[in-house]
Amino acid sequence: MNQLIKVENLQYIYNENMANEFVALHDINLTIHEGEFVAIIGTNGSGKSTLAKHFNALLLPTGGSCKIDGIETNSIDKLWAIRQKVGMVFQNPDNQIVATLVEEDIAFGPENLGVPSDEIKTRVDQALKAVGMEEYRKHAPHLLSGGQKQRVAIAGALAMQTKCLVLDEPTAMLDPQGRLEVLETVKNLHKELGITIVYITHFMEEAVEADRVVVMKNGSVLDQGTPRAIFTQVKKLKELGLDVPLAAQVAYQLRNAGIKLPADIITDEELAVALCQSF
Amino acid sequence: MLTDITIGQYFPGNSLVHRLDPRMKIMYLLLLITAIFIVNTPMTYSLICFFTLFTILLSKVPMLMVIKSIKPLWWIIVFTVLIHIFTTPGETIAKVWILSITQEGVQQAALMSIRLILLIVLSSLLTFTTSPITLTDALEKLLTPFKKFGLPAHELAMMMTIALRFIPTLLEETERIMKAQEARGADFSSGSIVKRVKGMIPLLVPLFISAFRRADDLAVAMEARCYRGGENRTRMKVLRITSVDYKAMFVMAVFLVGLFMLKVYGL
Amino acid sequence: MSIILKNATYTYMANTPFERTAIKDINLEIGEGEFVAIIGHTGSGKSTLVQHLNGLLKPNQGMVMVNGVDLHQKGEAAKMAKRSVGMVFQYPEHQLFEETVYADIAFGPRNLGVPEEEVDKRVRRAMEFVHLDFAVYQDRSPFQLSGGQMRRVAIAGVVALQPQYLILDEPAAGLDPCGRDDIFTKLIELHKKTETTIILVSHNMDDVAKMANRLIVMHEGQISLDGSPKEIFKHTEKLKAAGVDVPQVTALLSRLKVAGLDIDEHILTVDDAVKSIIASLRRKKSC
Repeated sequence: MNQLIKVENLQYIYNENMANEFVALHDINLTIHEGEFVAIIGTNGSGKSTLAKHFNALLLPTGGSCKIDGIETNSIDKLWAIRQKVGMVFQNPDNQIVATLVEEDIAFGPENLGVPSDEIKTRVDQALKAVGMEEYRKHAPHLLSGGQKQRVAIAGALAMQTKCLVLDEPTAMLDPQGRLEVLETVKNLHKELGITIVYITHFMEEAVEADRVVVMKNGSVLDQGTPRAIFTQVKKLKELGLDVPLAAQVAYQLRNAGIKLPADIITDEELAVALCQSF
Repeated sequence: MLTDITIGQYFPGNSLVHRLDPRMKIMYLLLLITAIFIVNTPMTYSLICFFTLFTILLSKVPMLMVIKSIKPLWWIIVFTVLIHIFTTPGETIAKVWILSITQEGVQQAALMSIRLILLIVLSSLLTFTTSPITLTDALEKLLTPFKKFGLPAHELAMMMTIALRFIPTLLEETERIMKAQEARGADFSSGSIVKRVKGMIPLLVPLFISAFRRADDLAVAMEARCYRGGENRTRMKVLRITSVDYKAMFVMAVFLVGLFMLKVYGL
Repeated sequence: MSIILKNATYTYMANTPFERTAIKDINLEIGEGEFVAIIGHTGSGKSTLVQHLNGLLKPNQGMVMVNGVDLHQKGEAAKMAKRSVGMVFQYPEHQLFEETVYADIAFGPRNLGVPEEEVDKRVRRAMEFVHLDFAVYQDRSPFQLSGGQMRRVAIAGVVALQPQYLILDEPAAGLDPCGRDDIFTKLIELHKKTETTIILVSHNMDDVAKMANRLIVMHEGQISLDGSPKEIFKHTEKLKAAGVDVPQVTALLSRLKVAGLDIDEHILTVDDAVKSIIASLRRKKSC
């Protein structure tokens, strides 16, 4: 499988050589393969957003390297090629929409790439369909809900025919309905269109949907593995200040009280089945 | 309340007027504005009023919306009327206090208000029938020849687009901040002028900071979508002169020639 | 001593083609010392409702009374009544504007006309409450702080008003689990120590179930359910219709009950749930 994003010994220092120098990331090694759905979790300050910004060269490493599809991110002449391959959706739904009509905003990316007019129209149509926002194409963005705005932002990245979508806490400012909309859209894109997804979040119920979960703490990667492997480490995650699925928490406490249960329970269903078998 | 203001708002539709090339529409507006200030006889006034009405009907924009667009500027009209009825020399027909209302004054006031109304209505029609991005595109194209003289046409157009996009958002935010500060005992509605200006600080500081933060975020988001200025940018909606435009050019030409002839013959 | 809403109705942009009735004929009484949570999906009227409680909005029909005083009558009594209700909006850090943390927290009390000596006491108390070291932070610019710290300053600014009733609209919005727990622990502390009436608007059932002693579910501008958390979560159909979930704990326990475990599914905390499961396992022999 193609290594779409390859990070080696990455280091990032804010305000290097100045009085308020701060090492945000140190010695990160991470590979994301084409077609994967990877979730990156960690508390505020763990460096997850800083890391995400390296994936489309918004930030360049102060040490080590970051390669997108084999291209070093610090290749100045390849900057735009990198940003076409890796699209990014940010936390604030409002502050990434540029145009006064939904379809015009989605066209913004392809227009910047110099795509011919007719093809832009096709891409916009396809992107709208992929995120389920066709009926809103002529709407003004400020009248949309948070979830809808984020879907427009996602469509804007898709219209650039991006290979990988990096979402930096896309649901942090949304209500539960909006969070569901965005997660469903992302899952769909991954399943139907095979788009690589890098999803940064602190909502465990979203991270649990990924193929692989990466846990960050204080600027380095603490652990990575399947959601099951990560979220059953209840004690460790709680100590880090992160949430775990309720079933995993309950199973952990039951085990501590002496009840014999399998170690890999993370859903309500699994707990129900396991408890009924434990007599 | 703020959403009551319809001047400058886009009213989506597919009428003939909507489909005209926006560059032509801007030029027509400029020509019509010039015409409005040249007309000075009942015939020419009627012709231009008729033409305006004809355009409104063609655009299929509801008359109510057109009338509403005059509302915010009613005070200019009233002011103009008052100035003219009281200061035009001529035959006095009534007296109010020490000021006299003349017949010529009333006539002038009526004609001036018609001009103002036509001006507002035609400008509103432009914004009603042309989406903001299309308008800024047209402006950018029209200003492109001036790039040679150093005019940053693309950047200006981009600034306008972003401003239009964020006005409603910033208005909402203003309301939110006002409520939050009022809940802390701030008073935006009473007190001396000085007190009220000072009282705006808890509103303006957060608003400005928020605006700068948005600008920052937006710049990053635009860069992430490969924005690098106007060079080699294409547009989804290409401005094209179509058959509708040729028809409109013909109608406009006939109208303007007609107006010109009437003026020449003093009708 | 309570806040009473009588037949309150509020319509946005009345008499225009865009008119929308946000709350219809609401009758509600919130008593002193209660910890109430108002829940409902976006558009159910929650925010509109709470903005009536401190007089920011005036109902088109009906009335609002705080401690027996009509909020919208003229005069001092109404002004005082309004001041006894404090409100923390969503993302309150967006309202910070002063040059120092001290000045921003002092803004509220100073507007109330509180003497400077008392203002100082209140600022210190408020900063202690949100765990911001007075000596370290008093002279700092609020804009140099982290997002979480800014939020604490904003909350301190409202707490310094020492309102009798405190309304908070999604105080944990945008925070990570640590930050969320922090805010809610402080709220519970505030409620216990000062007997301030807390009115919390939230989407999050799990948070709300643990803290509130009364839940009000809003749906399409009306009150759909009103009662203790235990009572409310029994009405699963009505909750679903209102677009509101039950707490994860309740959902899990219901699932286990369906699987045959003899447990009370109306338990609201994880620890109690675990105890109940253990007890039930030790009792029962088959599933």
